[in-house]
Amino acid sequence: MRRLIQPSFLLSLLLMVVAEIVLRCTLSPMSVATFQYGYHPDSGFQEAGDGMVHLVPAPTRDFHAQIFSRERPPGVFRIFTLGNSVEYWDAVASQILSNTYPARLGEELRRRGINAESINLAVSGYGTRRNEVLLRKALTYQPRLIILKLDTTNEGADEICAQRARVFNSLRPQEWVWKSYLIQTGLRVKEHWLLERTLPLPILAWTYYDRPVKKDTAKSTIALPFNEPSRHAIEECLQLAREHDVPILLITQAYVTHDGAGRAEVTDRGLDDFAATRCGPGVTMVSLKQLLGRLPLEENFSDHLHLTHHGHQLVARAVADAVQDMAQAQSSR
Amino acid sequence: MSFISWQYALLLTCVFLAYWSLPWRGRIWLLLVASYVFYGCWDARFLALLLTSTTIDFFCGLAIVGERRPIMHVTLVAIMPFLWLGSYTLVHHQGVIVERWILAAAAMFPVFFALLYQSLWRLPAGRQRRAFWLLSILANLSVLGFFKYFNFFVGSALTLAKHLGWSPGWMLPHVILPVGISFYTFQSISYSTDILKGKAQPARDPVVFAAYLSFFPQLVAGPIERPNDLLPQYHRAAAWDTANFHRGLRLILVGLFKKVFVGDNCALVANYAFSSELNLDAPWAILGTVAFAFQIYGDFSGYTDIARGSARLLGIRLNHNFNFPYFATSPSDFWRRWHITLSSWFRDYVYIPLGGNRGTMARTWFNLWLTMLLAGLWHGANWTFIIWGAYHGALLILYRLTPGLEEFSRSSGWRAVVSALLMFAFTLVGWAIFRCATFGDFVRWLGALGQWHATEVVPWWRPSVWVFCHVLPLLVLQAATWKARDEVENAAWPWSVRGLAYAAMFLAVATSSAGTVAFIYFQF
Repeated sequence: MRRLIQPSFLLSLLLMVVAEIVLRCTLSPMSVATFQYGYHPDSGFQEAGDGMVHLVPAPTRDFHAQIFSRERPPGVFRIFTLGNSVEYWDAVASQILSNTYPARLGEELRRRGINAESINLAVSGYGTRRNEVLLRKALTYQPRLIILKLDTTNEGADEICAQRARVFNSLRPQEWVWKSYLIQTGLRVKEHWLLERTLPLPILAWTYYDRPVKKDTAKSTIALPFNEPSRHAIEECLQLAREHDVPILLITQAYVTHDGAGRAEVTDRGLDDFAATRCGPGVTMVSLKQLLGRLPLEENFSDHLHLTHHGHQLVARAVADAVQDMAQAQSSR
Repeated sequence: MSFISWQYALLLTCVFLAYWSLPWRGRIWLLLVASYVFYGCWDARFLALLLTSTTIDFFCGLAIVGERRPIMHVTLVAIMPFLWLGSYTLVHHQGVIVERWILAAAAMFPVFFALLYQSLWRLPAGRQRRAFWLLSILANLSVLGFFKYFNFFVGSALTLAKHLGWSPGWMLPHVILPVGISFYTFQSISYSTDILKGKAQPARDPVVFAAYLSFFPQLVAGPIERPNDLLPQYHRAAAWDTANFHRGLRLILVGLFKKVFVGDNCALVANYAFSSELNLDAPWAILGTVAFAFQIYGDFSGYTDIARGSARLLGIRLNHNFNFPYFATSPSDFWRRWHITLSSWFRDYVYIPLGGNRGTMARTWFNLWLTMLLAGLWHGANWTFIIWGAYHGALLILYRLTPGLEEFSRSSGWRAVVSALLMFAFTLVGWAIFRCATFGDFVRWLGALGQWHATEVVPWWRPSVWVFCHVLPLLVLQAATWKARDEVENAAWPWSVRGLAYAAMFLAVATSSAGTVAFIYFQF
């Protein structure tokens, strides 16, 4: 009688079991957080024994490397900025932290005599929902001010990642396969090295949404709506900040579009009105459309969304103007 | 219940374990119950339709060979569809689940069928057999015609009438297309026809026949089996064979690989390329069509492999449906390799009865063309499918009209490669017709072939790398199994290579299963 289990089958099983064990032994818990797709609260934060917190680039939370103390030193005006590639990049394809407006803001405030510590928590590709998760973590480090960026660009990416995170956390039988580190890693490798590099954004959006994607006039990004989950996430952020008695500054994104005659103009996709209705005690706003819309666009925007070095400088000054009084009052406490 | 679901894996595992511990009779009942559960998971109401087809074909099949069953027996079996629908309605009493006229029709069916059955037996002996055969064929074609084509033809007629200035304002009923109806009605037609021709013997046991007609691995998308191939396997208890077990698992793995890794990943690009979102230009039109070619091949041949593998685990052999179709060197070669059980069905039950190639040249061409037109229509109630069939019919005629072309396609060496590439290009045009939602879309696709300067800002070459990366492993598998002419036949490989290949295929499937899409051929 032929053997029921063939050597080839045993070999394939053995290979996969060994790979699974090796991955389980070698992957750190933070690597596993990769499969929370940015919804893991601690991903990217490494708390050292000396009381310092190291921000490290994690696979789905690609922070700029920075260090700050777990306990805020007395008299320090600590600012956390939560945003996306606009805050992360100092210009398209350039990622020098010191050129970004959160870093320049710290310099600007210090130049004005305020003992400020500005930490850039922006992650390229993040939308409001993942920034809410990030905010919950950031609030444990006693900030004096939260700067939260409002932008519709990454709401689709947030939704995709939320779905993925749900899948990986689910106990439904169809999701059991994802409990394997080997398969998770295989998927991550495939997504990172093939999917994200070969398939354009509209196709990726189709993969998960199965519906036509509305392209903006520049046809370079998908513009998924600033939908109910996004609005809810903003409300949650405001509520969290209120609970922790931390003021919050909303920065609304501006978008460069072109009209039928090819003339460039700046729009806000309704974000300014949305933010304005939320302003009040503890909540202020800076509109990039108001700030940069009347200035030469090519001087301040490197593309339809991202800022030039000059643009970052202007935003840093405007934010410093907006928070200076508050910063002086709080840092003297 | 889709093959790509944990429910199917559970069903197959339970059936497999129970099947081999049961005696022959128990296995038949198990297959019947499992098949009805499998089909009922889509829409349990349509089990009544399957029961109706089963009743008609079972008694007609027996009558064709002169075997008459008592009228009480006929009536009792014919009442099953009504009993099923009635029980279903009682259980789902909230909401309109089964319309009253359907219930009334199901209630009338036993009376009507019993009377018809009795009256046909009163015909002269020479005409009885043909009358019962005709009843079976007409019943199957009526079911198919109503559920699949009623809205299409009546809708088209109303549109034409509107253009001619007559607008009756009729509202067409919303007819749901039962899953797999095209497949099991064709299997029923071949059953009755083969019995009439003396090529097959009818099933004498209604449970065996019901299990044969509804066999779950091939119920919804084939392969379309002939009675002589499948029915005898139900008449004896299959003996356990480890080789069958291994081959079944291999077929399932390769099927999943083709469907999930190749088909579903190519679908991402194909769906986008054929969407209205894209400003189609020539590179995107070609890329989208190539992606669709491999999507539909991976999808359908993957389904077939899973079906064959599932059946093989139960010791039942189903026919091949694909044989490296994109290596075909001519249209006739393509149809010997693509959806083999359907093309052979049309050959045996349409083309040859029409006269085949026995008449004049013009008559042969007409027969060919009409057969392909009907094959196109079989795929769906849409003008694009009819045009696709007509296009393939025209291709077959073109190759016959051009002796040099036909001769060239039969050559070997570099000529065979050129012929295969030429045929692949013709096939791609066919797939473009097939994939376009409307004829207007196909015209747009044709127009895009002249647009070689990029009109779409989304670059085409990056997605083409994606398609290439998912097609290449399939081509490697085909090259490695080319000699055996079977993608799961890898006995010549060392066991270590096989082990690596299985692990790689499993990982390829697992890492692609995040966004699986429905099987294309389920809609036919």
